[in-house]
Amino acid sequence: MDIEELKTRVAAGEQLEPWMDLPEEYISAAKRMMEFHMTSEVVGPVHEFWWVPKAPSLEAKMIFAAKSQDEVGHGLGLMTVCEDLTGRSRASYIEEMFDGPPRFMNVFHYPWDEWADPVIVSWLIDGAEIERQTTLLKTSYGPYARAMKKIVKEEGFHYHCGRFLADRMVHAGAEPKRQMQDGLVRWWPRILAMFGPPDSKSTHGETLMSFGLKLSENEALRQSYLTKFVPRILEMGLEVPDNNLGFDEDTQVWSYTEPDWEEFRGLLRGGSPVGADLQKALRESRLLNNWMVTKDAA
Amino acid sequence: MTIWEVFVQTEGGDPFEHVGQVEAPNGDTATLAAKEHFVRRDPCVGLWVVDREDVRSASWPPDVLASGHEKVYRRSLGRGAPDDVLAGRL
Repeated sequence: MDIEELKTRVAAGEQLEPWMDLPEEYISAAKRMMEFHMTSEVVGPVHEFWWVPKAPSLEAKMIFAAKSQDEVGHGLGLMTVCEDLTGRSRASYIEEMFDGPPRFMNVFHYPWDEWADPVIVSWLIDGAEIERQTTLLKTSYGPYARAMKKIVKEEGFHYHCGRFLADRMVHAGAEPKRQMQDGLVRWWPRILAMFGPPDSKSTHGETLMSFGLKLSENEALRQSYLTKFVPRILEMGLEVPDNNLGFDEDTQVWSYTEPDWEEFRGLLRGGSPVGADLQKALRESRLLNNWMVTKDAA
Repeated sequence: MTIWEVFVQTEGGDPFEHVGQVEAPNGDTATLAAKEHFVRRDPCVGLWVVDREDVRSASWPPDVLASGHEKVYRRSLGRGAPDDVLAGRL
């Protein structure tokens, strides 16, 4: 099918399958989007895995062990979808993830040094991911939409675990509560940035929308996130660290401090020291576990 | 390594539902990987893995697959159906 026919068919709600005759532009857009998503799901849990031994209770350790397994599973699920679309081998994807230029979400490029960091990420960033990923259940590429079912469901668990741990922190006394508030100051601009720049300023957004791969504009997702999460943060007894935050009742639009888009693009393009550490940890983990891979293959 | 298609039955009496794939060297490893990957919190009473090579896929177009127009008598509209409905059926 040509690209115009494809746009008409997805606009009518049709989902596309890998065995259909798909135009090259569509394949390359889907590939780009899913590979970015897949890599983010694989590198993210390295942060969580680092926190398992340091988490302050057995329960918290178990939560993070399970969460990091879930996230690697999301990466695996998306990898099978990418493999089927592109015909590339899993080994080549894994190699690229170890050594290639870092292409994953901004939030994983920052250090998670304090306990508040993984807690805030589970609560507010998994929460933000639910916002975006729920729309992807209707993405035009069928195998991607089906893989999202498991992912969206599990992100829901992560959000609840994060909220539970955040609740523990803010009720554990003045000092842990202050750590959470300080954490929120660090993470707030990164959370707003993770939805990406408004689509008018984003290079690929329009193409992805016209192919039905992406269902909602970045700014719309950010607005809907603010509507849900600003009250949740206040309910938790924390302050939203943004002097420009406000909701205009007439236009029904949130205003907020514009994130630093240069920093955002820099991280996505050039990576960061933390991103390099994540890649290194994955490489080392592969070396350590290689005996199992070769044993299985034999 | 082999690609295995995974099917899960959530409760007794439910149909087995295709949930995705795992890659594994043999059926036993595939079953274990599928359990770890696809059955993380929800109930599950049955789990199948099928070598993707063993799946046969019909190549007919949807109108042929669906046994369409040439077998409309299979959907009898019953006595007294209006003529325009009968006409529309064909």
